[in-house]
Amino acid sequence: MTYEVKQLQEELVRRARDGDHGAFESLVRPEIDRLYGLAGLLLSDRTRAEDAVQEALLRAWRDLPKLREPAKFGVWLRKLVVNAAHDEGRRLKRRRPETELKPHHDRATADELDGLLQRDELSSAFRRLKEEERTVVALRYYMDLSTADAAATLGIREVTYRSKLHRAIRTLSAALAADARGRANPEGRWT
Amino acid sequence: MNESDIRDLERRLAASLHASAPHAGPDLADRLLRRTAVLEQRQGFFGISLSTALAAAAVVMLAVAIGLGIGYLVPRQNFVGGPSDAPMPSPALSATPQETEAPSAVPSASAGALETGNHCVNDEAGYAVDYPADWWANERVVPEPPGTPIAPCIAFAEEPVALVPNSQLPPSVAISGGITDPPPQDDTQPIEIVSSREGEVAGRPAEIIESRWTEDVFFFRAGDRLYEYRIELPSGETLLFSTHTNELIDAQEYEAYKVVLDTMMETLELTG
Repeated sequence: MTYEVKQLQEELVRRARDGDHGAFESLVRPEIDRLYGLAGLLLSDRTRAEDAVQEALLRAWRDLPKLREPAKFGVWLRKLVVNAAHDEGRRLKRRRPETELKPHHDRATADELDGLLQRDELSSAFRRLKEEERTVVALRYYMDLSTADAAATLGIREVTYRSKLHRAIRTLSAALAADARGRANPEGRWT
Repeated sequence: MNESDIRDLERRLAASLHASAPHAGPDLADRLLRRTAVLEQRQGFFGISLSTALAAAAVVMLAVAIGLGIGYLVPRQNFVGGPSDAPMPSPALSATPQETEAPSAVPSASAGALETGNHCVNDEAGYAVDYPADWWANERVVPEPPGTPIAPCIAFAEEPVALVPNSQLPPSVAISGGITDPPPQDDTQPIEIVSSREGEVAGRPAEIIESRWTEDVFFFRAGDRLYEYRIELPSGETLLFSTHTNELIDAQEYEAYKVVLDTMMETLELTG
């Protein structure tokens, strides 16, 4: 982000903090698609993802006057979305996902099939992670955040974030390996 | 799994997540923002003491490091990668103003109410402290395979507790201590400051803060209490000792642990 863009964003935060809803819209509108995608990945449920983003935006707008450092608006907004998604996740625990999120394969060519299958496997393994594991993974590999930004989003130290991410990747890898073993030995016979 | 395998997995994972994530429809942003437009904003907080106290509460959530390397001080539910990791703190709703007492030279009126009989030293953090004769305090734990060791004298409880490297402290730990970095400023934690006062511990300025969570947020539950000593070290770091309620420590035990903590803080020596 250039210095000018950063300055402009901080000015928008200050205006929004003073009650300018137009400034708030300018700040959050470009982020909504990504935040919705993040919530969707964490919840595997489009309706709940929308609810989570809605809740996060309501809190962001309502509590913005209390945000002292405009430069931290982005981290703060992501935090709100992650927390709202976790809250939704708790409510979802006893319910099946209403709309399972899957990659779209409609126009896949034969050449792409291998890649798509791999993505399906990964997507499935990702959904089986614990919600907190999904969070650390999604912040890095979907939101493309740096370790510092991801750690700030979660309110943890960078070293903690790195450790959690490492373990989540190991867990994911183990799940993929288990899936592969299951496919190779579908009847459960051990060789 | 070698580094190359991990890099390949990361690349495929990023592609998978971007392909799997839902996209907002054309009217989603309008729909969401219509609701914020009719919501009234809350007033901001003013006053140095409040922000300091809120930051202090945030410290607790970062205080994990207290010798453990990672994890959190107040356990509630599992988090990533281990049987007792804890989830992150949440921003969310606001705190309410707190009472701020006048500075005092002694940490607590209840100091001296208990007899200490044990003594432990944490050379890494540079402190020594007494604790009750019938209590347990952890010794140094070196992980196997080698990793970040757990420093001694960071966890205190009525019964021995097994500490696991690279994990948060178990919920049965009654009092914990250690050095933490200053917390990030976050005025949106759902914390109500019950009381806050300034004092002096081991010859250093200290804040003694009691707070209460106002909402369920990850491992905290609405109503959970937290009592902490934030001691300002010459290095600029903060030495933090605290006790709290949780699923294993009820309000009555918490009140007793506060008295123990007050007494322990009277015996604290900085050795670093």
